[in-house]
Amino acid sequence: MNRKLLVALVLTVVLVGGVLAGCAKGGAPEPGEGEAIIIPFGTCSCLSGPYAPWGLSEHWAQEIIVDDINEGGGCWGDIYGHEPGFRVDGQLYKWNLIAYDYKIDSAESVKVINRLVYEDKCKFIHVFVWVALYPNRDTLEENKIFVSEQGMGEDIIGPEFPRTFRFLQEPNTNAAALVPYLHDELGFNTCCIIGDDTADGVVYSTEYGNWMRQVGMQVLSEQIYEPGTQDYTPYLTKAIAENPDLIAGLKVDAPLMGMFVKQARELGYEGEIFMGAPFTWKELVETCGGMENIEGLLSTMMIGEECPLPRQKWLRDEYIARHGEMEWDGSIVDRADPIHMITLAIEKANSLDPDAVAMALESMESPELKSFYGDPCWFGGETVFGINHDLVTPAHLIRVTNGRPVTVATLTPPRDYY
Amino acid sequence: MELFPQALAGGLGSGCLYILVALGLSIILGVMKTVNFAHGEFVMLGAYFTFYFYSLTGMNYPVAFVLTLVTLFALGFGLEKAFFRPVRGNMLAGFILTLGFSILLLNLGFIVFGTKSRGISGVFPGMLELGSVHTSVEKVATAAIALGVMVALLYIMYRTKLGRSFRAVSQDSEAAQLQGVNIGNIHSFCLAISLALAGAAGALLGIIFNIYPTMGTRPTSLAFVIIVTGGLESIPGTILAALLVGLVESFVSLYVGGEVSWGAIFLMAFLMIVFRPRGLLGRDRGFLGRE
Amino acid sequence: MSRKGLPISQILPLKKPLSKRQWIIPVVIVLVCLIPVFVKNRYQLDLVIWIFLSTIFATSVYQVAVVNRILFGVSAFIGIGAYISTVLVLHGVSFWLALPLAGLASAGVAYVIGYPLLRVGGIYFAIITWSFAEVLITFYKIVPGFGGIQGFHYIPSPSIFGNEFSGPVPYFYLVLGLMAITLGFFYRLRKSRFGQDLKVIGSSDTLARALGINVPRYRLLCFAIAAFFIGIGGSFYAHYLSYIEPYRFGIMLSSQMFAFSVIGGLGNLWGGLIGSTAMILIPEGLHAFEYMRQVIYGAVIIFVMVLMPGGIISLPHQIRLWRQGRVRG
Repeated sequence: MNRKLLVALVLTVVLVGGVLAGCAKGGAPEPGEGEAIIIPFGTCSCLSGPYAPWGLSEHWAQEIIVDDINEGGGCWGDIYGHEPGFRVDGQLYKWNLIAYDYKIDSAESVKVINRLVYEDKCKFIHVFVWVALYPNRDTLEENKIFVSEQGMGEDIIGPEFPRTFRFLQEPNTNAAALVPYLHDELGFNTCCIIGDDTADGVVYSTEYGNWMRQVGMQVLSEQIYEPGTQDYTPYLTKAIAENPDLIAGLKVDAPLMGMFVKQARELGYEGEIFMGAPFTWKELVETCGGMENIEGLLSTMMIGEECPLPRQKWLRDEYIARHGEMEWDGSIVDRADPIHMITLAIEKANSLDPDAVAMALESMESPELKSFYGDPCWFGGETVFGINHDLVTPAHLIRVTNGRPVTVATLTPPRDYY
Repeated sequence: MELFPQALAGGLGSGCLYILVALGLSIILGVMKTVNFAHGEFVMLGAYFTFYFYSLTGMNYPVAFVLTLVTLFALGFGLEKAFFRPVRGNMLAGFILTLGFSILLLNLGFIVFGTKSRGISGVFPGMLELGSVHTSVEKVATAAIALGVMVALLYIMYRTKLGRSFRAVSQDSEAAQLQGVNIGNIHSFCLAISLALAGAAGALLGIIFNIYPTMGTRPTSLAFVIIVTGGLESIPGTILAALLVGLVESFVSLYVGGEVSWGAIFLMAFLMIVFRPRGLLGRDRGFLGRE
Repeated sequence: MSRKGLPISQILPLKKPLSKRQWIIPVVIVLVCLIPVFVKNRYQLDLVIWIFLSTIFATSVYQVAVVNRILFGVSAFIGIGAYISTVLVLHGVSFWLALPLAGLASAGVAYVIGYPLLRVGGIYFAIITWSFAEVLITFYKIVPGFGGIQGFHYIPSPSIFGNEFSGPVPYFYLVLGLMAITLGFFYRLRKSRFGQDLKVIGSSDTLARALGINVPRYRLLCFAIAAFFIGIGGSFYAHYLSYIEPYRFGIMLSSQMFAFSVIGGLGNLWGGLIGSTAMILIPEGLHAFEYMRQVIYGAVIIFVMVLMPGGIISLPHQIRLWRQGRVRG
């Protein structure tokens, strides 16, 4: 028995040693080609598991942006008129994108963030979704890391986290802009809300519900379903029985929206449907069971097919060239914002020190700050979080008209509210 | 719109599809004495294969359906011969082996099939109104096809030599071998049929729901809960439990609330085992599982 | 044979009383305690902490496997430990009291549900404990006071003599201590009369009953003891991560810990440690593959199970079989 144990232990030690030897990649600054110094930009992303579609699209968008900044041409060079790379005190720098997969698992995120901070020596880290932030606050604050987050979550930004910024269109700002429009311009007076039972989903339902009541709409019922459900018929049955003007599918995940609409139509509902999260056009068309089902569907947080801004059009073309037409959807635009904006802030601050960059970024707004979502954009959030570190962008209202997603209105959230 | 008939119809419809999902797992458990943790992933593969055969190469649906069954049958046979022999009879090892398959297939699915959902449309178009219940042709048709496949399986199990061998091995593997049953082939056929059933379930689910790489995790959980509620080694029990699970899900979602619907199914299984360990229709053997 | 257990001199695993062997153990102990000095940075120390924590869970799974029960719902008890500990600490109870209380709560729940559940074996028990974990998730979501769907963010760290834990080093020593207690306890248990009775139950219920062992009661006790240690591990988990939410304690965590246990090997007390080490370190070396990483991880699991169905622990036995010309299975 002891020899068995010994051999097994020896094998494990060898395995461990081999793995650890391959562990460190070492992202310390090193001279790149020409005169540029390459510094690491770490991302704690989700490249596998149930949230892979969102995480992968973010990762791919970031790859495009990093290449764009490093090589010039494209958006950074042609549209912005900028030379390749970025300069601080005359020295040219370029980014090295380091992406690790944490599968939206808080335990895994600790390993990933530690690896980015201590092995790869990143000073700028982007995090996909708030789950990676709660366990790692101490590490990030102690080492004064600049953190950008794509996602929601409470207690993410605040005065006690001076270098953390958030880049997702918050439900509160979207709801603040859209709900009055839905009530005043489109004339909806009663609504049934159906949302999913996740931390994000509950925020959506609450925010939209509150705003609806505030503008005088009547919320007839609020239902929550278990995440991962594909069968919405029980919830739709109950909602349709109440005869609302509008059914709001708040935080129905994009891949499942086709199902939602199809099932509503199958149950005989002929009214209007609003989606609080963006749909993905190709998926919607394929899974909705017929274009007549989705005619008139309302959605937000994406750009329509027209791509009004040159940088949006560039991003779409580049993304499709790399990954194919099926993978693109209009909600991917904003994933490109963080790295671009951080680079602009570094140049404005003329420093790579995260504190200086944070102060510079906070003060920036359009037209100096360019969001791929559209202008105007600025950093807000002081009334709710105590610090202006949440990116506020226009809210687009998209309606499927004659078989295409068309922008009905672009609404700016009220400036003083947030 | 009346709530009760709608919930009833919805529950029964889902239940029929759940039968198909759970039967494959039930057979593996009975004959091979192990569990396939990747069962849902093969449902996903079935859905994608049908999608590719039907939507991309333009075959008509029945051909695509049968081709999916055949492909998954062959896949099951091959996998068993290649990987499952070392873990034969070892339930835990089989568990973890299939867990590995689950992780591999799920993530390979993202890479091979892309991250966006696909759908099969145009197979059974049209809406239906049966009394006060609003439904669609495809929901009724897929439920009917699921029942048809179930009948086919029952025929195989109770009226053919292969089915007799399955039942013999499931009762007593050694005695069956003494009677001349080739245990290696039986295991391979068993996995093959199980995967074919999973593929059929996927092909049908692909019509009424979306097809995406993580669509398998829910069917896996449901299948496990169903076979436990229905009773080990009892196909009638599995069928009944599947319908019950469909109904419970539908009614709890409608009348209580969606956030507890998933927990309610598991609570039902839990209480079933506490109060009636043999399940709904399981045979009372005096002991359950390995002693 | 005395009913009180074996005398001390027979507890250490020495076949012959060689004095040369006796000082390997203290040397290993000193080396392990000095790990924070050897590792390069916090990233590596954190990995070691996860390995030790997972060992606690995996070894408890092994302990339940000794009496032929597959505890697939490990995460249920991790969750109970985590939630009870968090709720107590947020109500002002000291961490050092909350830790054992969490373990006791976990053991208590195990005792209550084990009574009807342990009657069933094999796959039934596995699925039912998993169902229990899922039911608990719903419980945490809807019962007020347990954080709801948001869970608990920024759970306070333990503090000792007024100094709050900061950085991974204090956590390392804490988890090292917990792991040592767990392994030591199970080790002593194995050598004791109770432990030997458990082994008999493990080989055959009927035989055990024939020998006069109260099978259901012993099994229940074994299960509760294992749940106690899982609960303590769960408490550590909550405070180390400082963030828990209901969905965390479902099938993913369960299958992970269970896989560590089986891959390490269920024949032996050290299987949990070996499985945890291998399965935590391998993905870290695979980072270069980005999204192929999980695919390769799955392939590794398949590979290990096909070659070594008894776990890594069984590797020497396998090699011996191959050399004798016999292939397993």
